[in-house]
Amino acid sequence: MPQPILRTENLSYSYDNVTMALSGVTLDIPKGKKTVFLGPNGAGKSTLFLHLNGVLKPDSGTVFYEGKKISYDSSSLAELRKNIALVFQNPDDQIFSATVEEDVAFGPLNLGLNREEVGRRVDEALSWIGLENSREKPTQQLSFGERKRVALAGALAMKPNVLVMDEPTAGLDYEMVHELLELSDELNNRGLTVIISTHDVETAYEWADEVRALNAGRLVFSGGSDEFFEQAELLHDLGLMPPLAFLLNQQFHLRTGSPEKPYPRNIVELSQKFFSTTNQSVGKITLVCVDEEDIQQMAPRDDLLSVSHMHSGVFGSTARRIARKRQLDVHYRFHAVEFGLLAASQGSDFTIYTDSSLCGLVESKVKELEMHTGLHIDVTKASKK
Amino acid sequence: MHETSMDRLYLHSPFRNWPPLGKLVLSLALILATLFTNSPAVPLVVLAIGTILFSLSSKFYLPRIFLFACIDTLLVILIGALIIALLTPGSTLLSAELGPLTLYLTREGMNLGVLVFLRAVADLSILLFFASSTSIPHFFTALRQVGLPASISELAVLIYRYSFLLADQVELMITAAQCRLGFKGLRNSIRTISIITACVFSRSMDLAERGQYALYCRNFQGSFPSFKTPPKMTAVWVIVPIAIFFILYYLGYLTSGWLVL
Repeated sequence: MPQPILRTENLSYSYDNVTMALSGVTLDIPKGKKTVFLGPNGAGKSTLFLHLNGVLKPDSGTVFYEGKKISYDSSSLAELRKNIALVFQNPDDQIFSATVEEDVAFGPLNLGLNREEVGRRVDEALSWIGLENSREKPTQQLSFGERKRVALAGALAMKPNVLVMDEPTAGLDYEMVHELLELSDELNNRGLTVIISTHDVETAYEWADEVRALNAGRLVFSGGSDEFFEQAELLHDLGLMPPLAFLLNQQFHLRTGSPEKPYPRNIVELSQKFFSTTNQSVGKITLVCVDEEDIQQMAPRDDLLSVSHMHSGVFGSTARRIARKRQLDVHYRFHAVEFGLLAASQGSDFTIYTDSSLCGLVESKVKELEMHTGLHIDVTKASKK
Repeated sequence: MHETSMDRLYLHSPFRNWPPLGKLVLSLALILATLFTNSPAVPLVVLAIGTILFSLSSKFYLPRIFLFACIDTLLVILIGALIIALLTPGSTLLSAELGPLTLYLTREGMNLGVLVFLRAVADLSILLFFASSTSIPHFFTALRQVGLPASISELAVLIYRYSFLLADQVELMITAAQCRLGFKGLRNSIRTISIITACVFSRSMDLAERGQYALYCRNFQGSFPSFKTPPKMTAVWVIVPIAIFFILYYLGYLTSGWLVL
């Protein structure tokens, strides 16, 4: 079990001294993991998040960051908030500046960094979220999804160790939800501890390493997502339905008697568990690892490799940016690894464009899926044209 | 959205990189020049300058909402000028019986009315140039550079930002009220407007509270830093407007005898 980066002990808080928003919450957030908070509206998730970076001071109880009790003097809080960035559910609550770049620069400037460093952080954060061409756009002209991205960029520009996002997927379209989840995978791969709250159990099941559930201000579950969804009574109390993959697996187990575990979490694992394949040949996955220089050097539509539209995907913010800028004919703009494995398991070759820094992550994801599914797929790295 | 039109103009203005304070001094010099003269020639020249600058700044595009605002303002100015023309004593040009009242249009009144009208229109064109080429945050940052207290400039920038959010809220609430027949009849409309007004107030408090939390989260240290500060004003931006002012003043002196009638 990794060392907890955040810990609360008997945390209690009420807004009006009558109704307890949080009541004796004791929990750990493991370092370097992806943790999801589930619970109905009014469960206390947002209130808890505001305690994690010291915006709210508990009525009783303690918050620890990296084993140290947090202090509420201004310099300690500034240091804490540099390390723990919070993205609000409604981006309008946290966008103050008139233009995108001014807003992203707001936090770093408050840290007292020099302008070159602030500029670098703004560039980096905007490229992560794909808004580098809208840097001078007035914030009130942005769509809701773009404002959400700006709010996230504002948090990323602080270069935090912990990224806390309050319902980050609420109000976003399907593609953006998956882009955001992949971005959080990428950030997590860079060592960030990512915490989100959501009502979307499908997302929680597929994405999270750890689950914490709150109900009426109390912690009602802390553990892995498989264990959480096994507890039917608790789910009922929280008004949640298990994810479809979980339910299908349960039915498969009840009807065929096949073992319930390991639980399949995505389409590849489900397919491998449920269906025997008639095609014995297995395709291969080609990894094209790209980096920033590729954006500068190559003209639009100058394909890195000539690959079939239906058999290619992108994973990672740089690769996605290259795909956008150069109008690469890529079909799978998210879930590229899963669909790559699916294609390969059916005998087709698949190409995944990914960031150079994420090649290792893609390979380990492939290995992990191989372990769960029993597939053996050849992964090769391609040289760029 | 209507509210964003001015921002769009500013973003595409070729004069956006001129120092905001320099533009302010230039605008003030031109406006004062129209006020320090009795000749209609000066406002006409300023109107020409203002129109050219605004046209270049907006690249000959005027959002419809501003066109309506300009027409509205011009109508008010026209009515004001007409009242001045009718109320100023002097030699009568025309008279009209209006029931128990007799209205006299005098030569002096006409001249003054036209002068006031020209001044107002010329100054409006200058203000349009200034507004279309200067962003509010940059303007207040520039004012801070010359000693405006930080609390006032930051308050102004926050009000500017949050006014858009509240305007959006009001728009949504009005639409929601319309969907539920909130504006059916005068009585209903008054009731709906009063509810919306009260609701906007409470929502603004809520928004302010959440905004404060967010400020804390982003390490707010008591003042709003600016990433890209506007260009600073140089001596040229003082010398040139003063020179323009004196040229116009001299023009006014040379043409002081010019009258419309």
